[in-house]
Amino acid sequence: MGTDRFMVAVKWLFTRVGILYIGLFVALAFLVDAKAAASRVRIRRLNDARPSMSALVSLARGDVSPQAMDWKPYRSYFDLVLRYMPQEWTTRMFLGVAEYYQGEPGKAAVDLRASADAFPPLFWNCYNTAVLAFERGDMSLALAYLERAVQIPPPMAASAARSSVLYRQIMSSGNFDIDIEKDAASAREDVYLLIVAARYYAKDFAGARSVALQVIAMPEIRDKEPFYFYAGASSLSLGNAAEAMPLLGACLKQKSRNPWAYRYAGQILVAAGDAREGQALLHTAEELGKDASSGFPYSERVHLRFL
Amino acid sequence: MIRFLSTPLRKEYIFLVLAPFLVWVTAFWGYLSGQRALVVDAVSYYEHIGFFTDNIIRGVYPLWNPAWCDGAPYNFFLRRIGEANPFYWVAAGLKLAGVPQVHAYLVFLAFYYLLALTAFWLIARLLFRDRLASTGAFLLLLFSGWGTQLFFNYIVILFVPLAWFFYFLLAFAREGKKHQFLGIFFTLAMALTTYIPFFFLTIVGSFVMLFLLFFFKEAASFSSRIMLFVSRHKGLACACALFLVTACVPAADFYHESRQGEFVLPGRHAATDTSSVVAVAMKSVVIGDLLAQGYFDRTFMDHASLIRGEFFISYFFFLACLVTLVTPLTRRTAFLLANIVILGLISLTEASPLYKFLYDHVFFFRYMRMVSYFFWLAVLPMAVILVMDQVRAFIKEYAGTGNSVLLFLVIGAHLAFGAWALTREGVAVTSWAAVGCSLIFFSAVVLGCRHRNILLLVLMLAIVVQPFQLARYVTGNGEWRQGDIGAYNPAVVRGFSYSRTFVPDNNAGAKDAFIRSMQGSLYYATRWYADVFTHVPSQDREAFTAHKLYLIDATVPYDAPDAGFYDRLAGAWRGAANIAFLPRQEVPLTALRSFSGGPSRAEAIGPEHAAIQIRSFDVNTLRLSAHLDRPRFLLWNDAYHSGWHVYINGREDKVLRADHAFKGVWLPAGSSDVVFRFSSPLRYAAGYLFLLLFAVILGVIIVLARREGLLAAQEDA
Repeated sequence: MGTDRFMVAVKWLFTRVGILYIGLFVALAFLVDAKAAASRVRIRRLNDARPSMSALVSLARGDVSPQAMDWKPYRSYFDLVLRYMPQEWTTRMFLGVAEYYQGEPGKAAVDLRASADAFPPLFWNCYNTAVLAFERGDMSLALAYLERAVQIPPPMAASAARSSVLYRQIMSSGNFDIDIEKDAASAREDVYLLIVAARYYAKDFAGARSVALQVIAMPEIRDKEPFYFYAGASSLSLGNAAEAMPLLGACLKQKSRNPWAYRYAGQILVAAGDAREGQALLHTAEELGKDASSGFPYSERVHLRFL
Repeated sequence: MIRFLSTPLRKEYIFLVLAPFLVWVTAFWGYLSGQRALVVDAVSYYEHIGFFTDNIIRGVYPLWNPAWCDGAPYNFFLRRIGEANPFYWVAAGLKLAGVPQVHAYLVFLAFYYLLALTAFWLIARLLFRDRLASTGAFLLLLFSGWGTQLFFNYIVILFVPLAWFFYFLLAFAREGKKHQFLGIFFTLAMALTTYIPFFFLTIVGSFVMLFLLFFFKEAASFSSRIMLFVSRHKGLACACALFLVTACVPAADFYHESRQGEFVLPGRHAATDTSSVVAVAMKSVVIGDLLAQGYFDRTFMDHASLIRGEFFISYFFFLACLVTLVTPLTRRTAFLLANIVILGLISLTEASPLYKFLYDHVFFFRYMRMVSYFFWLAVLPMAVILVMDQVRAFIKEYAGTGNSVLLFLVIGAHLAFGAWALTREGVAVTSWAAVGCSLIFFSAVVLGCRHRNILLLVLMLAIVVQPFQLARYVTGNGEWRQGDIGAYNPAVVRGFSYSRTFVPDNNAGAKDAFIRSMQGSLYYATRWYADVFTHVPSQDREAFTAHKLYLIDATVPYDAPDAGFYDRLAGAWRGAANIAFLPRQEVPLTALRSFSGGPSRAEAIGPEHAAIQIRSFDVNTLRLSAHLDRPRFLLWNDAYHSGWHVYINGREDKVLRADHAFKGVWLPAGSSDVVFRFSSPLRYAAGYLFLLLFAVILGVIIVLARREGLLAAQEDA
């Protein structure tokens, strides 16, 4: 009896449409290359989601400000790439940049650091991690990544960029005309500046002075004004006004807009008895309109970059 | 017997077909009113059909298009649209009645879609013999993403003959009427007059093969009935066979033309190993397959972002699939599913070995690119028929049983589906209405609701409400129409254009490398025009060809069109030099002449030119009169093709290929009557007869249908 009922049930089941669908799914598992299909769908979705890379090129050239860009499609695209390729560290760096400009510096710092730790030859991820750490006031972290960045030769940085799909997409834009190796080389100046500044603000005045003097001696450095400033300010902080004054003077000779340079030089002159000159410099410092007791005077030079 | 003119059928058509269709029109009013733009291939077909109908209204059978890449043979586009389609006269008639071009075309599009769906509804009625099932099938297809294809591509042109073919075939299998027999051949002929009848052939071929497999006895019986019919109606059968052979002539002629090499399709043809330029490389097919399209990205989520061309359908469809898993398995189910699977596998190309096998072993698979169209043309309609067949079987098997297990299954399936839909983001709110109505429908069936009209109403709500909202999203996300659709300018048909506006690009030098890199994207042109498009900077070409006619005093030979030649050509065009280059191997020595006293610049001809007056023009013919003080070379910046003939004072002369891509002829001193004509009078006569033939056959079908319908009504009475 039980067997009969079972057989009836089986016969019923095998005469239903459902069994055909089951058989069909099994057959399709052999007839369809699911991996190839999934790969094709993935590629299509990535291609469909790709935003304009020429806007990123314009951003890199400074033609457009990052605040004016709509980062939403870029962030969606970077998220999608990372969903399919979680080990795409270059994209993770770009995601960090997008998050920062969308007002999420915390997430940005996490993603930039993850990229820098996993793929340091890229250079820009180390640089950007350092910039964010510097902005937060975490000078020791900033120094750690700056020192990593400065060890990466520009050819290696350029090669790392060229190996990345995202950079290749950017480089294939119609308006791309940037020499990425030269770019990486010129960025090293900003790395030195941040190293010097980070040491200075971490109150390692001797270290800041030492590095600044080394950089001043490098012939390839074009703009030595900030290094003169930090060398002079560090010397002053170490109590060596006699050494500080010529350094600050060299800074001012380069038409510096740094009010602290004028202020410190003015204070030295006033203390040395040259009140008239000193007061003039102090007046210039006031006119430059900044609060000379806080802030980073070269903040417009230092920002997140990818080229 | 389908008594199309009987009152119950007419009532059913008006309330269950036309009325929902009007609801569909309101859902897509943004597109159908012309506010939202047609895109992609829908624009191309608007241009082609517009060009064709504008010419036909003027009594001109267009074999040449002077506006396409400075002139190209039009046969390729006639094959694309299947110009013998008598329904194009709907668009032509509306334009003749004064309806603006855009609105005339959109009305035609809506009408043509209704025609396709009418055939689908008739098929459903034939198969189901159940008003609820046939209405459900019609509504599912009408209110699916299929309708958005009208605004995105051209497949309605393929779908109409395909749907009516299957209707006539099924109807003939049931009733064996003459108009149905003729209808089979008429729709087959309509499909064969396009250059891609291969979609039709593949779908019908798959259908026939599987029909033989699943319904061998019925197929044998049907074959016997066909033989009997043919033996009783030999005249009709012979006429149909002859008509079909005649319908193959344009496609055969075009295929032959495609192997001659006078026109090129660089994008399609690259990397194929066949000599026909219409052949498609495998890598091009892959771009057109189902996986590359993204049809299904928003079927279950993000509904508010739906756009034209994407697939959507009422959730009732999926719920019906789930609930009807317990219906009895029939041969028809297996047959439909097999068709769906085979055509679906073909449209996956590389992801399945079936397509590769067919590409390598079946010749016409090398001529089909957008294999994803199989989804819209066959997979979706068959899937709808399959699901509603299952619903009908469910009702037949389980209606009124009150089976608690079944009820539990119905409720469980709906709850499970609803729970899964909850995990999707951006689901339209009416989706829950569809789920709810579907639950009510199936529960009512199981519990024995006797009111068929109430069941029908609930079914209609389940099918229509959600897609109506989705259609509104699609319309809302459509691009606004800015000005005319596409690049087609009806003025090109009305009169000769002496020149066009050319605005020099001051950055051309800097961007030229970029421009050159874009020049490889030519779609279709004569092969010599493709050469100059690729090798001559666009600024120089466009500057010179901005004027259509020039009088020139010197023709010089060139040998191979190498880089040096293109540089000289570009230089001559840049300065509008009074010189034309003729290929040495193709012209007689007498064609190479020069007049030493001529100016340095070629003389552009305008409307007020003293020596040259245009007497008449249509797209195939240019007639002008010349009054020259000396022999001069008339250069016409219209692409050269061996099909062009020139007659000077009634005597045929040789059209010379000039400046590599264009055409010209030496005109004698004195007064001359010059006529350029493309192709031959016989070709035009054949074209007009062809159009007339199809219109007559359609008329015969309608008359026969009425007569056989009336006769049947009398027999029944």
